[in-house]
Amino acid sequence: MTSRISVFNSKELQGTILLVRGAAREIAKEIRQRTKAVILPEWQEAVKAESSTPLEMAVEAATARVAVSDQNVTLSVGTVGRALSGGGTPRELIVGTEFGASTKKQFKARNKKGNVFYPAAAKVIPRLASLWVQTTIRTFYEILERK
Amino acid sequence: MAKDITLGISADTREFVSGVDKGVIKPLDGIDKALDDVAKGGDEAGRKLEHSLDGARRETSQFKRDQTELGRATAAGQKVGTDSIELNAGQRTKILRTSIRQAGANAKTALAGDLSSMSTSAEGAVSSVGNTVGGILASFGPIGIGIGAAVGVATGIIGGMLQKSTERTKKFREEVKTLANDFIETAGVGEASIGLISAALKEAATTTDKEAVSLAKLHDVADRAGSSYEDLALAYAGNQKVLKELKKTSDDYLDSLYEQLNQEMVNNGNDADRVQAIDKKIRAQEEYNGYLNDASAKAKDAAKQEKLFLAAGGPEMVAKTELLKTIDSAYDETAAGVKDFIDKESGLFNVAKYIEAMGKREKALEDYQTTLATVQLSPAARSFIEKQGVESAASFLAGYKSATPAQQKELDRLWSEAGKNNSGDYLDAVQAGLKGKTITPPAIAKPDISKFDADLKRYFSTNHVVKVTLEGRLRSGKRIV
Repeated sequence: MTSRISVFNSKELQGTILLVRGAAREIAKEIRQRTKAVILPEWQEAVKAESSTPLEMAVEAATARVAVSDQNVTLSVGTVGRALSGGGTPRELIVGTEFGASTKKQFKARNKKGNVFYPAAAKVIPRLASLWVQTTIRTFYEILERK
Repeated sequence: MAKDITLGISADTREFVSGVDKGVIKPLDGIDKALDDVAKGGDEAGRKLEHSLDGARRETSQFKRDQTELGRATAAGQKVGTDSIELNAGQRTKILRTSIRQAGANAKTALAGDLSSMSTSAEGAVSSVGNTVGGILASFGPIGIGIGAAVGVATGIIGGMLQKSTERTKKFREEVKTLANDFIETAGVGEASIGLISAALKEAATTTDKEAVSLAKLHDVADRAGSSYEDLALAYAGNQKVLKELKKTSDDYLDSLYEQLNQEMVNNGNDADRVQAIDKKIRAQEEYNGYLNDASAKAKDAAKQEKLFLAAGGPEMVAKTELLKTIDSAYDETAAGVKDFIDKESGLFNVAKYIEAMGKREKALEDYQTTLATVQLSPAARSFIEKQGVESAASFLAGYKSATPAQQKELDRLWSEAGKNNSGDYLDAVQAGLKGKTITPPAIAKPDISKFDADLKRYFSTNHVVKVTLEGRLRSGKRIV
């Protein structure tokens, strides 16, 4: 299943990327910050909605993050957070939580397609991309308006 | 350690950005309108956009094959870097930034008018500016000077770029031609001669053409990227060995930078300065690698031409042409040698003797051609015989024809060795015999580059030391140093 959007297929994404890349440094910075502010809660909500066990909530929903660069928005889970009460950091547990494991009981059964992150990403990527494009354009225009 | 789970919502951004920067990918038509629609449409536009992006995502898998082809086209395009009429990164950014500044000024005026007559909602403001800014992306031309005039300016810019692009393409082809000729002449498949490399370096060191790739430019980009200037200069000048190695390490390095950026974004996404520092490095390294891609593309094209030349029997044709030239000139000499046929006693031109001599010479030349064409000699032996001139060669061949097969074999061996004349094979044999001892390469491997050296030193009055690695190459194309 392809859940990403190729920039070659979307005028809006191309425009967004070119706009940010061509914009002055401080404009690009503001666009990144605002995009992050808009997309992060949406992404966290989406991951939470897919999390059905306490482990998934702790390892995935609680660690869902977004990184915005001038060319892309990167979604992540499990890259932050301290050790859980049962031992093990999200970083250590994330692969087992997402894809299951055949030997360890604490995880679900093996699932190549992923349990939380990938289903969540598949569902929300078009919406997040749309927010990225809209936020970029609006921020850009608002900055012009301020000047 | 466990692997991170991350995903960029957009794919192929690297190819797209790099392709646009290089001027080999043209953004889709109608970007300006698409952005305008988003800006104008409010919530409805948001839903429509989401729907359209979902469609784009579904198409992504269908377009996989096309993308791969596009990727290949990008790589192929980068070598020319000029087939497209897009502006390069620097020009694009400059124009865009200027336009944005103008847009800012213009937007104020536009807003003042719009706000008085329209609703003062943010949406109204957005759409009024939208018309202007969307246009920048399409044409990258100045804005706010009326649509008709803007179109004129955009056409002018594109026309100018097209002109430049044609010039650059022409220049690229010229460079490939020079390199291919050099490959053929040095007969080392895909390897340039010292002469060509030093000439290219000299040209780059002394050029005053702003469009040309000068050593100063290479130094600047290497400096910004923090990668080796010396290797870049050599690779760009045509040293294929350095180029191959440098291209690999530079591609790997760029990949590691992308990886670093990815990590940085995930771990310190909020720290824009750190992310941008890596991004800046990446842009410089992309530029650095761009030069290598150019050089590599040139070498590939040149090697292809050399291969075609070899496949078409080029060397044989050249040899034959050379032979015919020798024969022709010998024939011409005889034909023009009137004084040889002037009777010493009578002082008159002896026509009968002249015709007889010419007939004999003609016959000899014909025999020589036929014999040379039919004898079983190695190319090296043949080359040796050809160099002896028609008279001697004819004698050699006559001897060869009357010799026993064993003698013929021995003659072939002897002439082959003679034909090689300090060749690599010969040297290899000597080197094998003198294993462990120092071999001094023949003087031919050291061209006089003192002037070139002096030019370089003059050019870089500061601390830039240019080291030129020489590869001695003899006629047979075997490397000796």
